[in-house]
Amino acid sequence: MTPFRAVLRVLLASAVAFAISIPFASVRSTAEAGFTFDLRPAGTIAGVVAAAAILGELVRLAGRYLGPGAPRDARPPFALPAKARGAALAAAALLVALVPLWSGSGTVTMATEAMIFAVIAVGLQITIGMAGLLVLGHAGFWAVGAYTYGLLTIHLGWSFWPAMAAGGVAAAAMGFMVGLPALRLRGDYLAVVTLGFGEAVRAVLKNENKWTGGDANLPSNLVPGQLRGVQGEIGQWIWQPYGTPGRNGDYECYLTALGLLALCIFSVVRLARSREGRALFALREDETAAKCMGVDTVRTKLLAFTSSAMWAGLAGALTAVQRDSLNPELFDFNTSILFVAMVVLGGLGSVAGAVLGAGALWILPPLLQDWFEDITLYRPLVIGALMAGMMVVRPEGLLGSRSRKAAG
Amino acid sequence: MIQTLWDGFVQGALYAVVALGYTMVYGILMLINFAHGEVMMLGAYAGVVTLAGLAGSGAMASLGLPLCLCGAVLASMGVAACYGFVVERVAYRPLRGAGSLSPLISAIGVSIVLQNFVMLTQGNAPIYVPGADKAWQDALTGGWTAGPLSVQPTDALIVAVCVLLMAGLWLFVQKTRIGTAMRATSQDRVMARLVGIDVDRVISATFVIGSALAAVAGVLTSLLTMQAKFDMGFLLGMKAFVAAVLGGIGNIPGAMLGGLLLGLVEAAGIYGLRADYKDVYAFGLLLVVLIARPRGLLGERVAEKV
Repeated sequence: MTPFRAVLRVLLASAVAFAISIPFASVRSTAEAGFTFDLRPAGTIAGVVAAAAILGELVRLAGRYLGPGAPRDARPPFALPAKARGAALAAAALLVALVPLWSGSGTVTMATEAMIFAVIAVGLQITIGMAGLLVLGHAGFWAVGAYTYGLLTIHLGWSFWPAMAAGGVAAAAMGFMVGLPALRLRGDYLAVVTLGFGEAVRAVLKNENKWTGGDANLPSNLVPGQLRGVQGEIGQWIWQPYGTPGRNGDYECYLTALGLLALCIFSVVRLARSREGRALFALREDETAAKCMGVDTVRTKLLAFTSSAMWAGLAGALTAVQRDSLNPELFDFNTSILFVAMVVLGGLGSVAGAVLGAGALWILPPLLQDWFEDITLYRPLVIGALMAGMMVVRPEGLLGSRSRKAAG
Repeated sequence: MIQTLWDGFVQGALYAVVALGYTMVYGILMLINFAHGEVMMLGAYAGVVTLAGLAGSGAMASLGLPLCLCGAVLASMGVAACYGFVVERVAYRPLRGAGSLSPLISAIGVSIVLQNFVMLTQGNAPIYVPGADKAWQDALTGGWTAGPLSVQPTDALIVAVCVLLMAGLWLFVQKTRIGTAMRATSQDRVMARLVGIDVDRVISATFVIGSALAAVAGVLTSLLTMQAKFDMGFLLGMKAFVAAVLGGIGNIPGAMLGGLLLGLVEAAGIYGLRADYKDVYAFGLLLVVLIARPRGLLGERVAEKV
């Protein structure tokens, strides 16, 4: 409450951090000399924790004056009338579509990746943010889409659009199947089931290398260089007038990703405002109450799973083209966690939040690299701390709506 | 065949001890403590570092191995108990009564933080148990052979310690005052508070005990593989959770049964099916259990309270 309390909390946090980090940060065993002991790393950790705690207190303070209070569906003060908003969005999309004309190929690649991740994050928002079902193996659906695309184009010679659609359908079917056993369960079992699904997909991709390429001991890449073979079919008429900036095919990927993201945002926003979407939110708030109000929980959960997996699958197909080669290690547990972090950071249930989260977590670290060299090393740590810290300090995320759960 | 099953049994005993921590916490908070596997890993590190330090300074030769092992286990229990306590205070207690999604996400965040914390401070290469030390070689060579089965001293130690721990926990929960309070809290938290049980203290105690048990399991695991690595906890933790579900979550004998069964099933899968899918069998088993008997082998059907 009072500033004094806040200061006390910060001091306590850094003291505890100092004490418990000593065994790991300060003690090292060496074969020759037994222990070496150095208190400085623990001191550094205490300092970082103090800084984080101060930040947390500030956010908490800000949240007290700005945060809850406001009714849930209040329009933001800067909202434009619907028509003007549509026009503004279209103009923004057009502007983004033209960006590659004057930016380097590195930027285009990164932006494409960020948009692909945004599609996945917005899709994942359906299960985690709206329905409140934690999915810890979303990278598995992404992988299913990517490898379906790769296998169909390389082994069967399919062209881009049908193979991409097939990737989406395959992932959606997988989502349906993973969702089925989960129907009878509380949400937290589901997290472990989906985690197992993600691991299983990765194990299959790694071990069945007759199809997915490579040797068991090598990263089993799907034959590189072949995925781009179909790029020309994506739509020559789109980029021909501009020439092709950067690497061959980058601009097609960029535009396709933009189009997919636009479609994804549009349909998920529509979903959120539809009867089904309201049912999803009801499920998140209180499953029993939702059931009593006549929500068909089985149908609604399956809908959430299937559609969210479908978006990951479509994004996966695009990833296959864009990266030009696939490796099972790309789709590991850390990637699934990255997706969850994107959703959590932006705000549970908020589509704009998911886009923001995806952009922030994918674009910020490389940008900060000049300033802080070891950032890739510390990224997982920071993501984990953000997830936990966000839940404690501001569970609704940066842009989320606060869920009003009665304490129980 | 018998050898594979025995190895599975040893692994299963370790799953069982870790599963106890999951099942106790779940029984009271209805929360999967994703950080539990990492706490086990922290315990393993603390134990191995202590052992290596003792061996490196020559103390192992003079004190003898059993005393050093006891010291390492105690050190790791202490460290892990501290972490368990702090994790609950920092990441779970503020979220009590905040729905079921936020504590889960917070738990995953904590798990990632702990894992990367150890990776950054202790390096991403494994650290090794000083098996080359003379005291070690003297104490832990040999073993017993019976037909096709050969039992290493480490295996025997692991099984013995795990059985002791389970029996000890069972007595603790059944006979002591705080154990009774734990059972009451897991039955009905609100009612427990009404009859004067300090629920927050009981929950803290649960985390401390579960973490200390996990630390022992961690040290034993690193004796089995002779190393500790920063990512050893997560998958093992998840499998232990599967074991807890298999036996009926919230049920202490169930966790023991589930752990042993899971170890055997994995061994059977490695022997009879394919070894390169060994990490998948546990999750397959989880699916089967959740579809066929969601309350687990020994679990009771619980009506959902509204």
